Amino acid sequence: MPRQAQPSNGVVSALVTVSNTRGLHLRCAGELAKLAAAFASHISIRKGKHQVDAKSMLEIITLSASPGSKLTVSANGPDAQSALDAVVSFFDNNLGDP
Amino acid sequence: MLNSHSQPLVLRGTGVSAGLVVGRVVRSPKSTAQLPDFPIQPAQIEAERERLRAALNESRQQLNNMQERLAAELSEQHAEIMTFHLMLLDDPTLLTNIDAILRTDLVCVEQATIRAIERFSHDISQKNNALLRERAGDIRDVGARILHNLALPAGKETETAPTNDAEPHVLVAEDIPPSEAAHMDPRLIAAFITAGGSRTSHTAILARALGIPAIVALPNGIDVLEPGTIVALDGETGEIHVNPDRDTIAAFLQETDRQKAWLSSLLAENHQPAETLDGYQTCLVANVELPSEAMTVHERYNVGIGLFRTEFLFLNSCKLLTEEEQFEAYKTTAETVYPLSVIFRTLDIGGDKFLSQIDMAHELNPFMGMRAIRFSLHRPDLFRVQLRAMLRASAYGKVRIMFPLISTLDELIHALEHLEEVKQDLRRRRIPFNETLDVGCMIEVPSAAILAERLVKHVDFFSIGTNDLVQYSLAVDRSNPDIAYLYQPPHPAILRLIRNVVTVACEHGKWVSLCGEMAAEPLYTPLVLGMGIHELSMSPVAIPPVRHLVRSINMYDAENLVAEALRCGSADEVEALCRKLIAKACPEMLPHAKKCPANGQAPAERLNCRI
Repeated sequence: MPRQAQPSNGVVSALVTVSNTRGLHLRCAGELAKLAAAFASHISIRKGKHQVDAKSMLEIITLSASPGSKLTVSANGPDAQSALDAVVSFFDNNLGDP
Repeated sequence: MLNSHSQPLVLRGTGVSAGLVVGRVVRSPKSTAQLPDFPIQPAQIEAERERLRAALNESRQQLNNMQERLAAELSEQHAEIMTFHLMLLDDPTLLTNIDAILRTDLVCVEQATIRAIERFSHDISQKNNALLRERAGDIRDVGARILHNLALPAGKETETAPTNDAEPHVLVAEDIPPSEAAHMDPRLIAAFITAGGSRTSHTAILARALGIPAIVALPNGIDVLEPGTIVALDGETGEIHVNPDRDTIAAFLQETDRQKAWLSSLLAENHQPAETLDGYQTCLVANVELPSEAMTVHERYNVGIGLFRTEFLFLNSCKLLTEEEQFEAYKTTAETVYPLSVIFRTLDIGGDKFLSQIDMAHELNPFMGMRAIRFSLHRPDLFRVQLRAMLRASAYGKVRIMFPLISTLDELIHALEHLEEVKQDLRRRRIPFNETLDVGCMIEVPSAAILAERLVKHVDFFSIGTNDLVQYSLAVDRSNPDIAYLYQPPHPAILRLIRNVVTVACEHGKWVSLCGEMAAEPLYTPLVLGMGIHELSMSPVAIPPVRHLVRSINMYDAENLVAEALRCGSADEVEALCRKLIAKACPEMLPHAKKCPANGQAPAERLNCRI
C-alpha cells in the first residue's frame, strides 16, 4: 500500500508535480539531492512503483520524471515535516528552473 | 618498425568537431586492464574504506580544479555534467553499495567500486530513455576516476593528458569519457579520435565547445593508430591520413594557418548586411535546436531563425512536452529574436531521430517511412498540441510555422485543416495569436518540388530542405560512406528542382527559404543566391563566411552562373563553375570552401583549384 495511507507511524507524504519544462533533469536532481541531504529524516520519492532515496542524485535520475509527472514524496524521521515542506516547495517553485 | 607503419593510409570516421590537425598519436591508457583483485579479511575492511575515502577526496579535488579551470569556457549545460560527477562522489546510494559489497563479498575496494559502478551504469543503460542512457557513460567515467586514484599514492596530481611534449598530440581511444574530454587542454591535445561515439554524445558536444577537432565512430576500429604514428586529420570530413606523405602534411599545415587567419578576419563583417556588390540584399538566418541557442545566435550574429527544429526539445526531455511547456519554449524564442523572425518546424521525428517517449514500429527503411508530417497526421493529438503552442507564441513575436516532408497536396491540406481548426478554437476562447502569421511547407521530397505550382496557393512560403531533397532525388543514403560521393547538392537535377520551386513561388508572390547544408557551403552561395532564394538558413558558424561571400559577388554574375549551371550535365561541372566564379570574385574564400567529395576522388585536381 502507498505510504500516505498510513500517516500515523510518523511518515508524512505529499503529492507533487514536475512543473518545469525540462523535467527532473540533471541539475534539478542535483539540487534536490543536496536539499534532501540537509535533513536527518529519510526522504523518498516515488513514481508509480519506482521508489528512490531523495538524497541520491543517482537514484533520482533513474526516475526519469518528465514534465507533468506526479510524484509522491515521503519523509520519515525527526524533522520529517520540515523536510517534506522543503521538498514540496522545491517542486512548487518550478524545481529551481527559471 | 613494421612495414605497415610507413604505408600511407586513409581512414574515415564521423567528423564531429571541425578543424585540421597534423600530430602524433598518443593512446589513452585502458583503465580497467590490471585492476587489483584480491580477497580481504574482515579486519581489513576499515583500511579499505580509508583507501576509498582518500581516493574520493583526490577525485573531488581533481574535479573541483577542472570545474574551476573550465568554468569560463563551458556552457551551463556542460558545467552540469561536471557537477553530476562531483555529486556522484558523495552519492549515498553509490557509497552504501560499495560498502555493502566490501563487507559481504570481502573483496578489495577496487573490485567493490567497479562492481557497484557496473551495476548502476548497467541499470541505467537499460532504461528506455536515450538521455538517461548517456549518463551510464558518466557513471563509468566517475568510476574510472576513483579507480585511477586508488592506484596512486596519495597526494599525487595526475593528468590524463601528456604534458611533456611540444608536438601536437592526437589522443586515440576506444572511447573518451566526457570528463576526460572536458579535462583536455587544447594546447596539449590537438585533436582526438575514438572508435565509438556519435555526433550527439557529450564528448562530441564538449569537443565542439572546446574547439578541439574530433573524429568518432571509426568503422574498423583504431588498431592501426599505434602510439607514435603520424596522422593528418580533418575534423569536418572525418578523414584521417595515417602516415601521410610530406605533401599532405605541408598542405594540412598551410591550410591550418590560413583558416586561423581567415576566421579572425571575418569577425569584422559581423554586423554588415548580407548584400551583394550590386546592392541585392539577402537574408541570412540560423538553424537552431533549442531556445538557449536562439539567444547566442541573436547576440553573436544578429540574425533571426530560419529553422527551429522542434523535435530537439522533445529529444532533450524524458517525456512528451505539454502545450504549456512548448508554448513557453516557443514564446521565449520568439521574444528573444524579435524584431527578427523565427520559423518553427513541426515535429520531424522518424528517419534518424526517434523519441524514446513514443513507441514507433521498427522500419526497414525509416527515411521513407512514418516520419515528420506523416507522423503528425497519424497522431493529430500531438500535432494539435504543438500547433496550439506555436500559434499562442505568435502573439509574442514574429512567428512562422512550417510543415516538414510534404510529399502530396493532400498532406498539406490536411495539415492546414488541423491548423485552421486549432485557430478556430483559439478564437472561440479569445486566446490571442497572430491571424496573419506566415505558414509554409518544406520542399524536400522531389514530388513536392515538381508539384510546387499546386502547393503554392496554400502557403505563404516554401522552405527547401536540400539535405533530404538530395537524398531522395539521387536515391543516396548519405550516411553510407561508400556511396557518399553520390551525395551531390549541386547536381543539375537538384538545381532544376530548386529553380522550379523559386520560379513558382515568385510568380505567386511567395517567398522561398533554403535550409540544409547547401546553404552553409560558401562554394554554393552564388548558385543559391543567383536562383533567387530569399532567405538562407544555416548552422550559425557558417554565417560569417557566407556573409563575406555574398558581400564579395555581383548578383548579376550569380544569375549568369545559374543560367550556365542549369545547362550542365553533372555536379562536377557545376562545381567547377562555382569555383571559377569564386576564384575571380573572392579568391580568399576558395581554400575554405568545401573540400573534395567524400570518396576522395581527384584530390590533386581540387588542390590545384586552390589559388
